Amino acid sequence: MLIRVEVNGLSRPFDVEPGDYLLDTLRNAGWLSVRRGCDSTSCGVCTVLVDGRPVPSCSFLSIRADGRKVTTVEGIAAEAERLARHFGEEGADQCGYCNPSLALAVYALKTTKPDATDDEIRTWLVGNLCRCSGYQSQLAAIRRYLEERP
Amino acid sequence: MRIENVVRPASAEEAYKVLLADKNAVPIGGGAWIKLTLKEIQTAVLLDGLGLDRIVADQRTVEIGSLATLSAVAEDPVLSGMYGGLLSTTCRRVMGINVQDVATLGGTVMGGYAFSDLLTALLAMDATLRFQKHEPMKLAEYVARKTNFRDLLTAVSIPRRNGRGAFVKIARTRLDFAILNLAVTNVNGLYLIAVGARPGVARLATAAAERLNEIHPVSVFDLEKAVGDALGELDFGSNGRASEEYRRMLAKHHLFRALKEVTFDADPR
Amino acid sequence: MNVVNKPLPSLDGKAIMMGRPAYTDDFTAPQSLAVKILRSPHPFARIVAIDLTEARAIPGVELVLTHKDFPRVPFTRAGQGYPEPSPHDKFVLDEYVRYVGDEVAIVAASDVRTAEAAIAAIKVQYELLTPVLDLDTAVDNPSVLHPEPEIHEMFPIGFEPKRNIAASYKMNVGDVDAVLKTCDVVVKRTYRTTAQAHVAMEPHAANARFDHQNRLVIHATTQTPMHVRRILSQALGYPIANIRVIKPRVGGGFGGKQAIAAELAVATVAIRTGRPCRLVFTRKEVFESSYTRHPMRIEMTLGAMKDGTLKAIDCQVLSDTGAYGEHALTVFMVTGSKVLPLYNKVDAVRFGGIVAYTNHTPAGAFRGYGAIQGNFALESAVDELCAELKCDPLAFRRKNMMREGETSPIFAIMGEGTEGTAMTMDTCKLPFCVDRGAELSDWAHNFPRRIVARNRVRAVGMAIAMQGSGIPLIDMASATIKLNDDGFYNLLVGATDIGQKSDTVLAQIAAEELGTTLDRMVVTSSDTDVTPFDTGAYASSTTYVSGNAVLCAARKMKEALVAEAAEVLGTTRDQVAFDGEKFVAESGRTTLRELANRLYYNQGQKQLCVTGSFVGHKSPPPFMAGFATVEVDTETGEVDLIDYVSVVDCGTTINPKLAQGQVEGAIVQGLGIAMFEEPGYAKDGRTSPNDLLQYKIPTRLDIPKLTTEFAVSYEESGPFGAKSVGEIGIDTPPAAIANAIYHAVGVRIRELPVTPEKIWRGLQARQAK
Repeated sequence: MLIRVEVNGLSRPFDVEPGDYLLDTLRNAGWLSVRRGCDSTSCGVCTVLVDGRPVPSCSFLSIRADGRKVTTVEGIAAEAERLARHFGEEGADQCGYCNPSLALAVYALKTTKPDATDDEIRTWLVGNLCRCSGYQSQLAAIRRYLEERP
Repeated sequence: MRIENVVRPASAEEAYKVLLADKNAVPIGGGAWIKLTLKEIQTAVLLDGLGLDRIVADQRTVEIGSLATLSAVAEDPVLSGMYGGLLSTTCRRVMGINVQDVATLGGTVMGGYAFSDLLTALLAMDATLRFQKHEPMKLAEYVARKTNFRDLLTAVSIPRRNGRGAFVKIARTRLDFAILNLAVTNVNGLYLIAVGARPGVARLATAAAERLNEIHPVSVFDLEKAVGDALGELDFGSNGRASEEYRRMLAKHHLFRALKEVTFDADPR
Repeated sequence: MNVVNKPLPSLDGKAIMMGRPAYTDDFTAPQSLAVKILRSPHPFARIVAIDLTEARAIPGVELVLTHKDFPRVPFTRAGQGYPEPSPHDKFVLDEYVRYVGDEVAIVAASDVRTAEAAIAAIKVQYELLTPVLDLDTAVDNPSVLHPEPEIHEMFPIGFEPKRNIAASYKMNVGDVDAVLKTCDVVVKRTYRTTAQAHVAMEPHAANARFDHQNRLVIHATTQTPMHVRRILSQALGYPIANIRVIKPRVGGGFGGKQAIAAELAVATVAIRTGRPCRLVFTRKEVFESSYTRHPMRIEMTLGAMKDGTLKAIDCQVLSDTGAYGEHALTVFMVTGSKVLPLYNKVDAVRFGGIVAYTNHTPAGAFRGYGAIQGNFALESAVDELCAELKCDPLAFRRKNMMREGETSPIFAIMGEGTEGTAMTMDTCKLPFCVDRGAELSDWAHNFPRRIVARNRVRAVGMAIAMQGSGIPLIDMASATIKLNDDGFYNLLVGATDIGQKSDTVLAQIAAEELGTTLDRMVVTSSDTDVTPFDTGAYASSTTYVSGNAVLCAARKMKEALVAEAAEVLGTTRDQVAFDGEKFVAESGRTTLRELANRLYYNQGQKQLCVTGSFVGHKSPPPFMAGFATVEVDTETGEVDLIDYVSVVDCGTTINPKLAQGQVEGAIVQGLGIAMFEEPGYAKDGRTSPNDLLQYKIPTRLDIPKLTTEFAVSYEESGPFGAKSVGEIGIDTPPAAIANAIYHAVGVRIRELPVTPEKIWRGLQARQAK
């Protein structure tokens, strides 16, 4: 079936099977930053924004994205770069596999609740697992990113 | 996932008719749980765009549309002000924000899942289910008996009462299913006590609450007795996460603490 | 130092965050066949017949392979130096399946859906065999997992497959039994550790294609590209010179990618079809069909005198290696070799045990590599001993632990599959680690416990640990540095960046030595055609072994540069001063940029390109002290982690923030197996849980605080004084947590994980007494 999704500001047609998930639709169309981690909504690696809200793309039927706005990390490049700078300063990046999806979730937090406390940051991101960092350095980096008022 | 047909009804009524006509048609809420449990769907009925996601409050009730996401429920200002934000707190304990942004209240309720945190909180808030065709049904009744009819859930109705509430979820990590959950509310001395993930599905400890409701004022010993009553009324079991004994003990201590929290202003002990 | 010991941002962090293609599956060739594997539903069975007719008939199915399609060449999937200390007990596909998830058939089709349909259409007739599912009864069990005549060890490792023994070993120093008889107190306890799933965020994947020279090019999520290349060649009988293995960015390994996973399937499909193909493991396959940590049963006996002197240690291990023996011997040996030397002044020490085959998912490498299991047993037993001696746990450690300048006879005796290497601890800051850790955790006020509320107790528990820095005399690393016009460098390293940022750390070492900045050092790593040899990312070898190779290469480059500059300036080498940017002599000066351009284009043209290699003659251990502060609900047994303090001696931290990240990430994985993760098996032996919905790793909200510091320490034999730091963090949490719980409520838990229910049951038992 033909659906129309606005990805990173550009509306385009996609030919999908009814049972296709947004993760595969986006990845097969070339947005390689959208990646699979667990396929059970448990890890957050596949997070993309739909109408500005973080969703697990592995479990979001593509047909439900018809007519809606989807954002991948390529669509927030400047923000991702800004967050990456703080990650770099805190040494918070390791394997990086969780980073693009984390950037989207953090960006969504910034647009929703920029004054989030540490606990609120943790709670917002609890569904974005990281196995490498131990979380502390990421928190420090994210706090600096949120505090930055460019 | 293999889906043979997709139906996009133009109204709730049309959706209802489709579901009635086709026993195998599957209504799609958030779709996340369906992905985990089903491999194939003959006919998927999309419920987006039917206005079923609105949360509407009037003097007496808050009508939560069945397609409202857990995030929308958590962020609703009227609901956040009820029972000390009980429903908000509960929604935020279900997985993480990305799941909360797709999981719908309706999907959770109709699933009747034993691990559900929402069912426990909704029971303690005296929720009523509204259907497209059928008469409204108390959530407590639905959870106990499910339904022998096929209908479209359109809303979960919460009576607007001024009261205190507490929700407790015990789990191994903050993203895990509950080993046990419970919710209590106190509206001017009228209590509702709900315990879920026993591992069985959420239940109200009705007799325990009714006995407690007849006592004014309530003392710590009354609460202790109520806990004992509730434990006698509810059954617990063992599974991979915990044994029956341990669940029972968790219920005993946490129920007592929760009841104190919604009764007194400071811990009397 | 200008570049080393500086928290510089990584070379690749920004691009990865921005979502650039970087990981294995991002480099799948267009029109790749989808490869899928039919996996055994039974824990132990013989394949009687396989009917492929229906599967082969499905349009789009290109190839279906069974055990009949492969010659009987046994090998090991373990990524280790050759000859491997793991038994060669695996065939590409075999007539037997030995765990739920074992490979039965390989399918290649036009897309994943078609491949899955083909999988479902394959009809297999199994003869069910009695599975061996209990570690305690695996040895000499009548059901034998590996009856094949062709399998063998590469050198003696105690391989007795007819007894279900993959490896065994024993050693002793002094007479433990005699010494125990003279001790005032003897503590003998049995501890059990579970398996553990690595849960790297990126599932295992590989893809294969033929390039413009008709050479087989594999991209793979691997920690050991060189070993993969060799194993593919041997297992498939394919010329090694025709294989190129590239490791792109990898989304976490922790040991789980230190053995073949998807590589064999894509290689054989590509070879047989000539077409590019890809295989990406589902998360279920990662759980069931990759590797886990070795579950162990450890019997620890300690003998001490009333005055707190530890006199004897006896450590006996039974380890579950699952269906195949990857890393069986070496993990088990590290349980002794990188744990027992912590108390080096004993009169006698004995270590031994058996690694058994069971019909479980194969165990393999996992950060800590036996040291975490051994540490749990030893540091718990030490605490139990302290309780009996009524001795302060810190005082006991201070009295008995390894110190700088000392050694242990164990180093000379126990290597990784072979004899060890004697070494003296040139750096060991354990005393500082213990003292500083006690300070940071407020041990004096919190030990053993403090009542914080009617039903709430706060307590501390601690453990010390050691690890290693590469495998001496076995691990070789090398680095090539090439000078470019404009005066920037290419640094080519075999060293395998799997997220620990070795590209960056090694570039810092090179840049420091060459007096330049990080942006002038372009790193290419882990491409078997392009980069020189490195064993790979394991055994905490990268900073120390690969780092020393880089340092060696950088020194050679500096010498070569100075020699060329001397030529140009008409003087001798000793007259030339080089600060990284310019060459200055009395006879004149020139810049690096000028020299480089000259060498490329103008005069005396040559390409400066040098290679340095390094093999360690010792493996200087990093050390640490870990302190867990917990609060326990005395009514329910629930535990809140308040803080975990780590004080680490890893020599110089090449990049302090990245080193801290290594420690903290490892601490949280250690806390995972200590308190949160519950791996296990279903009744039929299947790994269960087998998804992330049920298997829970610690989340951001479960780890409220970590406090991490580094001791001032300079290891002369390491690059700029560095030792390695990749694994040390994971070892202490299980014992520290168990010890904290004991101090809190007097309940001693000897089987991981430490759970609230176990604590509560312990409390019930105590009250009953």
